[in-house]
Amino acid sequence: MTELGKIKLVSSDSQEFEVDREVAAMSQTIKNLLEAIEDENTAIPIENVKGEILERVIHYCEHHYNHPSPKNLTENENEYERRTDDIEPWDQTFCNVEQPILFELILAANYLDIKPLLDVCCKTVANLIKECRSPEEIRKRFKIKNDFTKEEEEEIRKENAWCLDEK
Amino acid sequence: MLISSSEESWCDSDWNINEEELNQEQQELNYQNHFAALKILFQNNLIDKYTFGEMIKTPPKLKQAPKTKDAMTLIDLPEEILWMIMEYLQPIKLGWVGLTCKTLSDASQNQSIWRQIAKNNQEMYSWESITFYQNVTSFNQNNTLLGVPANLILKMMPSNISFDKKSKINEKNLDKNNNSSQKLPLTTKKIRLKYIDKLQDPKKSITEKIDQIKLQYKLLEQHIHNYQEDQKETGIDNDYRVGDIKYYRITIFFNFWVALLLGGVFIVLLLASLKLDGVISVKWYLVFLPIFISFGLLLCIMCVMIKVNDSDEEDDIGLISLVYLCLVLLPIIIFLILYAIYLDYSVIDNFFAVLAPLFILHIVNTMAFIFILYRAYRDLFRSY
Repeated sequence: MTELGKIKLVSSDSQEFEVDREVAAMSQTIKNLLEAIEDENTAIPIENVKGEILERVIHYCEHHYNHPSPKNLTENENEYERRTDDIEPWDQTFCNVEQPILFELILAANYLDIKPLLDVCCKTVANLIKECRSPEEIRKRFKIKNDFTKEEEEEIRKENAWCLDEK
Repeated sequence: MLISSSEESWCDSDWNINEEELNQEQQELNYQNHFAALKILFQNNLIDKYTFGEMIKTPPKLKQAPKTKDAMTLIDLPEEILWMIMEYLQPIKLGWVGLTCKTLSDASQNQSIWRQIAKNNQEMYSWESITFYQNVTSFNQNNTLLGVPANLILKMMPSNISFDKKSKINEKNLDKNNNSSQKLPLTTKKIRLKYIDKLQDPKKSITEKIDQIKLQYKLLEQHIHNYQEDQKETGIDNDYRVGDIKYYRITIFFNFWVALLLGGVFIVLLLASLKLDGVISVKWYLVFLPIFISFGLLLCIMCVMIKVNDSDEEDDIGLISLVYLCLVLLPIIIFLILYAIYLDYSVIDNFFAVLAPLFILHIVNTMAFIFILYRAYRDLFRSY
């Protein structure tokens, strides 16, 4: 039996987490589920999200539930390049994890439909890219394998010559 | 529950198939709640039938853990997520990302194109409806070019073709040898389309949407090229709208002379009334004056309209119709009222003798206008 006002989330590797209903409802996916579930004790399986990641997601939700951040009014949806320098310190620390974890957090946020978490993780990845000083550095940092053939690479370099000059 | 009884029974039957197999495990592992939740997930389409079946067959305890890789990399992220990340990058960094590998190259290229579109047309970026300009007579034949934003057409135009501020595409110095200035058929039709309907289709991926736009560019480019070739070969101006403008001008010309004639007649009558007091009574002026004024006004309004209408004549057709018909009908109504009030049968012969030619002019003018309206509306409806 779960405590009153709490629900049980089960990760893909069968780890169980008891979370406040309101906290869990920060995920739109879970919120929708909760509305459909009659039995409050029903454990909700969160497929595709490992226990380790789910724990972090719950931690994020709990923090932001208890410390709601002021709505960013400066965010302009119509801007072509959106800001990445407005990540709160707590979120910066939260996202300061190894890349695989960060990417899995992104996937989890996407699956669970937690937009603030998704945004902050994407911004963190964008910041990591911004820190790189060349395409090679991006490859190295993100362990990306260069799958271009020589001809393809030559062609794409020609097409993007303008941005290579700006190094 | 959100589920209908038929769906529920279907799910139950599926559930029952595995029930025996599962009961022991369920009891043993005490996962009843887990399966109930699974069922909810399935019923709410959060997992598909296959996953549902697999998860039932495989007890959670034994189930293989996460589908995600142990060490994910950037390129393992789905396209939508890459897109979101790239939205935060400056153009140069976006270019660099595109140089790293094929997957990111495609995503980066799409993002760049999309950004360019957004820059050119903020409306599109905010997923609102967009105004597109296209030639209906030429493009409607295949419908594939619907949805090309005007600014992008401009971008891909050859340098000797440009949009003017009224969103027309004018061909400048197409033939530099003879310095001729002609209009492309693109000039004429402004259509408002809900581009959002096409690009916001959730079934289509961003790549598909971008591909669609690219295809449209190519087709449009091809069309312009063909048109230019045709123009060079035939020299035929197939811009039917030009014809409509001519009709407007003819009407103005006609109205000008009618107004002049009426003015002349009015002045003559006025002078005559001064000399021949009693022969022409004040009642005549009351009949004449509104007709004269209405033609004069009509002339002014048409002149203004033709200036405004150079770009979007079809938008104003309704207004022109209203104003024109009111002005044409106004003197007739006034005449009928005045006739009913002031004129009697003793002067009716004189009255018609003076006004008959004017009425004939008036009728011809009205018919000419109705003809113009017919043409304009016919073209308008044909275009849609």
